[in-house]
Amino acid sequence: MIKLIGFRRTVLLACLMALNLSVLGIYFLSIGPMLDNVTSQRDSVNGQITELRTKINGIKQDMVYEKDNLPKYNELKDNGFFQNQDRFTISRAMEDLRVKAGIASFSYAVGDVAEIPNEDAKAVNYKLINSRIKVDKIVSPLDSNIYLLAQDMASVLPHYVRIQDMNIRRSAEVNEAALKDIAEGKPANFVNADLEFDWITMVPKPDAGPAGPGDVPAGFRRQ
Amino acid sequence: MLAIQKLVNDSTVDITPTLNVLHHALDNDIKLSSLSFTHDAKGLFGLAKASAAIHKSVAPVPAGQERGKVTIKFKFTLVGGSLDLEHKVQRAESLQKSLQQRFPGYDVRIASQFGSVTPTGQFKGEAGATVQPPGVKQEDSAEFEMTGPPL
Repeated sequence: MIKLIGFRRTVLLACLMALNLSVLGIYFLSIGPMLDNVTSQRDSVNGQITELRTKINGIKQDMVYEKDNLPKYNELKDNGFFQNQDRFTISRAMEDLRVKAGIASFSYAVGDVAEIPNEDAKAVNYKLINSRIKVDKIVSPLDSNIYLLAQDMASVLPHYVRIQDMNIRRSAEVNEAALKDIAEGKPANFVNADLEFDWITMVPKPDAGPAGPGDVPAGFRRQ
Repeated sequence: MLAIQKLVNDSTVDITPTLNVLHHALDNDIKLSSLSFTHDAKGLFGLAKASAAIHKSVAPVPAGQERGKVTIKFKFTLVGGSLDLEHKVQRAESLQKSLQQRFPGYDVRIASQFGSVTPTGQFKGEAGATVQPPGVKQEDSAEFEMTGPPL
């Protein structure tokens, strides 16, 4: 072959082959792994981008949810749904209720604050509390005042008030003597009634540890 | 929190619509001597998580009991004319039908009929001249009991 193409050309061919082999070697040993590495890095970045995009979409949805529900939350807060249940609030509410319903007088009793078990409230470190309010000895000439009382109860106390029980009984007949008493300005009572309501609010759970007797602010009931 | 608020809100009822329907169902010849309204919603909080109820991922509360159960009881007499027992019983039964129409989904029951007549027809009586003990007056009233979802 050397005789056919000559020594110099053979050397040139050998050099060219060596050059090609070195280029191939560089590609397979250096550039190839680098490309694989870059491809895997690109795939990893793509994965991160997808994950971030999902997170961004989630945040966007959360923001929309918050935007939609924040006014509702604030309204609830303003209406006292996250308020503690204290005796002064109840006393004031009962007097307001008496005036609004046009009733001369009534008695009321408030039971101990009780917790309503609820997993959702527990999950956000809150608890639902309930006070049972019993109203009786109502001095009212008409049953319509009692219906008013039952209806207005929900508006005089912070959210939420739920009527549990209402019993109305006719205690006296409307007759000439009764009408004469009314004309003379004497208190008339033709119906007896007793009502029971539940006052429900949602309050933060107190920090762990038993509270001492001095930990309850004035007017507040242990919750 | 809003899920809990929804649950609490759903468990409260406004008595006005129910009483309005009852008011329109009772004609002028009916005079109430007692009325009782009871709302039983205490079971709602234990049935399912409120968040699950909102997202409808599970069927939380049996259908028709999402807002608890209302029981209305009332006792009444009939006024305007002296009706005999037969007509009073018929009047009470027609009132039962009328209430069943006006309160769909309610179980309307005559708890106590005029003259102590039971819905199945069973009754007690005395024939001939009988002497009623002094101070004892036969009760001339009927009592209804209705149970169903809040209106």
